[in-house]
Amino acid sequence: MEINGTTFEDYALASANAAAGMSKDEIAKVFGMELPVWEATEQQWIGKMSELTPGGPEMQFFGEAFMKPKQGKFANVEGAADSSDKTLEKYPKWSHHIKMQQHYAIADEVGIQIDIQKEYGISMTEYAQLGMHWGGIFREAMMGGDNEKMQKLSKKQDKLMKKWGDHFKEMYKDQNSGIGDDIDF
Amino acid sequence: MFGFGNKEKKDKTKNPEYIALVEKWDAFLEKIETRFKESLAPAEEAVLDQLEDGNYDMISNMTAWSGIKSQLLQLSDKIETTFDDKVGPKMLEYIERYDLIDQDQKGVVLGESFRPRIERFEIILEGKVAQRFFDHAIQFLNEDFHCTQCNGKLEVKKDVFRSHYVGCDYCNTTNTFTPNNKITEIRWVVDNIAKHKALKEWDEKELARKSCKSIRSLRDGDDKTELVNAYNNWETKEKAFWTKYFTERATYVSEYKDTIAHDVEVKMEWAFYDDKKRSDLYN
Repeated sequence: MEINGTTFEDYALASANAAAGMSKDEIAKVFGMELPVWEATEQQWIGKMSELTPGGPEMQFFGEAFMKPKQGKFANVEGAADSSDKTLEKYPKWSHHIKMQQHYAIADEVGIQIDIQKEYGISMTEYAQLGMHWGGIFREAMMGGDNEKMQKLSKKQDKLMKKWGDHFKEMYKDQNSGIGDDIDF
Repeated sequence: MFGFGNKEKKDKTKNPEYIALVEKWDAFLEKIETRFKESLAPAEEAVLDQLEDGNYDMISNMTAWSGIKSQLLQLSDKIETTFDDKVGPKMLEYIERYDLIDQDQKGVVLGESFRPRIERFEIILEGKVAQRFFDHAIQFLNEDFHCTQCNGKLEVKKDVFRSHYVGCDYCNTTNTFTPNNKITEIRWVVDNIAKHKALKEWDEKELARKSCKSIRSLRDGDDKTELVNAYNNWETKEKAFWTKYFTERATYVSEYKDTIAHDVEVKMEWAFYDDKKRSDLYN
């Protein structure tokens, strides 16, 4: 299926590059469109997204596009986002990603929005790449039925989540006065 | 000899100290319930105030609500930890572990009620926030826009919140209208306005869903009439909600008018038919 000459793959790659900071004007140029045409096209694809099967081939490609945004019509585009390899060079450890996750989640609990770009110097696309990379390793072990590896990974994950969870809870403790703190049994 | 000990322990349920403990637990739960209810109005006020104070930045507004929501949900954790750490161990001095379930359930029922109540409150709150944002952002569309060629006044569409072509009535030049970020964001907030406007239908479909889900599992040969009726009712109410929702949304974004029926069908697939296919109706 195509909308104004763009395929779902085009739309997925455009989304991945947009999340990495590429402007709509630049994206429109990649497709040889003027901005109004691209925005109308994009809106139609957003509508189509709700019709796709979760875990189906299109949605899988949508994930892959974030891992490797510089492909298809974006392969030779200057300013297109790098693949996950570059992001992993910057943050190679699982601990790095769990730290970001916990930072984001615990700050959110106290009503603070973390700017990933500002805090860690990576875009939302790069942050998603890390998530998909480590999620993929976990999924691979699960699908392969390697129980020993799964147990090891789970244990490590729990340990890292606790380490960084405690760290950020401590950091935000002054902002986290619960509404039920004064009620006691 | 075993029965002796149990009997002695069971008798303690009438012990004034145990009864006092149950009353204290009930009072604790009542305080939590009161705190939950009393926190909702200030939460709404805080989130709405934040919208104006934060110059209508929807992301920081959503984060502010997320923080408050998290605190409301933490009341549920508080019930659980209080029971596990304090109430349960004390009660076990008087009753058997299996008798503890009734007391534990009181807390579980209250704790589990918070999430759906917050969900409903959120529809109202986000609807109000969205309406306020809309009223603010739409003013930018009411400004005068002029043709790049002849400077004539352009008639910009009031229900398209993205860049689009606008023809000049005076010199026929095609202009590209590029809205500011606030106008662009209107496209997203209208979803919440529409949902809020469909609250009555949302309540009805939730009631129908719960009623359907409360029917016990059927065994081979059981009469399915009650379940059939419940699913039919749920289907009607679910469809009414999505129809109202998409119709309301299309009043703000006219481009959606032609796809209402299709959009309802797509939503019905995952919100209802998927569940129905897996139900006891087909066992």
